[in-house]
Amino acid sequence: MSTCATCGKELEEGSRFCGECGAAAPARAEEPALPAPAEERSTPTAPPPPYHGTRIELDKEMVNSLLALYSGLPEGCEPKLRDGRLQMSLGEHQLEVNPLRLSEAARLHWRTESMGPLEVSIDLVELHKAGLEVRMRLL
Amino acid sequence: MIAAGQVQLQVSAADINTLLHRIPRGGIHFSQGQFQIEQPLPVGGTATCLALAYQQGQELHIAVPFDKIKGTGLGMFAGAMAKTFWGALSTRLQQAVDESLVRRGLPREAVTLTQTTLREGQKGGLIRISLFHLNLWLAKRALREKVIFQIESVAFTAENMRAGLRAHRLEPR
Repeated sequence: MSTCATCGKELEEGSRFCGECGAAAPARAEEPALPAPAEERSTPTAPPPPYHGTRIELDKEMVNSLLALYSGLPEGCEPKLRDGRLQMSLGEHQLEVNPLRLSEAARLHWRTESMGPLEVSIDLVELHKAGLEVRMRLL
Repeated sequence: MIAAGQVQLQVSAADINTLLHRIPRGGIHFSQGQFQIEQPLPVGGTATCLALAYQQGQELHIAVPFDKIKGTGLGMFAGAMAKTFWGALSTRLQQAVDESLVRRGLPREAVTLTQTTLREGQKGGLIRISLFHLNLWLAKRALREKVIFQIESVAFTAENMRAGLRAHRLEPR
């Protein structure tokens, strides 16, 4: 609560003039600006650190080629990757899966003649606009 | 043949070592972008060397500079260590490679071992892996697998190995 600089009377909150003597009330201190809404803030975010682990990346064309060759569905019905979504047409039915992600790590058991049995942890499978990414580790 | 997309394969240093350590009597370890190879010598003792892998055109080169060879228990043979080392290592590698190539139907020209002057000017051994022959072999396999993968690039960094492959389909779809 501020007081009038001329007569000393207590001023009402927000008043611009003294109710006693009519003198102009002192200018209010600049209120701190409210922070901008989240979407307007331009806080730069650091890019994620590069991933150096084991991974396979298939570009979109590769994903669609493999789907066309190995889905077993007639031409025109095979699933296709478009804009990060897996889409399929079956007659009048249009299907779309989005997103396609592994919810938890999966274990792959892999046996080769030269290396014997290998256990692989599949840590990430993600379908996105550019294609498919699979991250894994040999155990 | 119809273009069918690209694949990027990246194998971490840890996973490279998991695979290398499964090779019987291997003695090979990957660290900081280089391979460390341990080789028992016929005269007794053991020598270790560094091997640097890089792509050179249609070949993958693994260079073993002789000035990086170190040995233990060699005594009076230390002076001739480099030649002895390369002789022992190349013999072991050639036997393993020949057996592996023949078993998989690859030609012997796919992997060659020579003693030469390396690109930094020092003397050393050079293992040359022909990507051309590997890609021919991959193309033959595609007759039953519908997709041909061709190795386009191979690079080793401190953290991993990266390979770029391009795919082609044999039939229109």
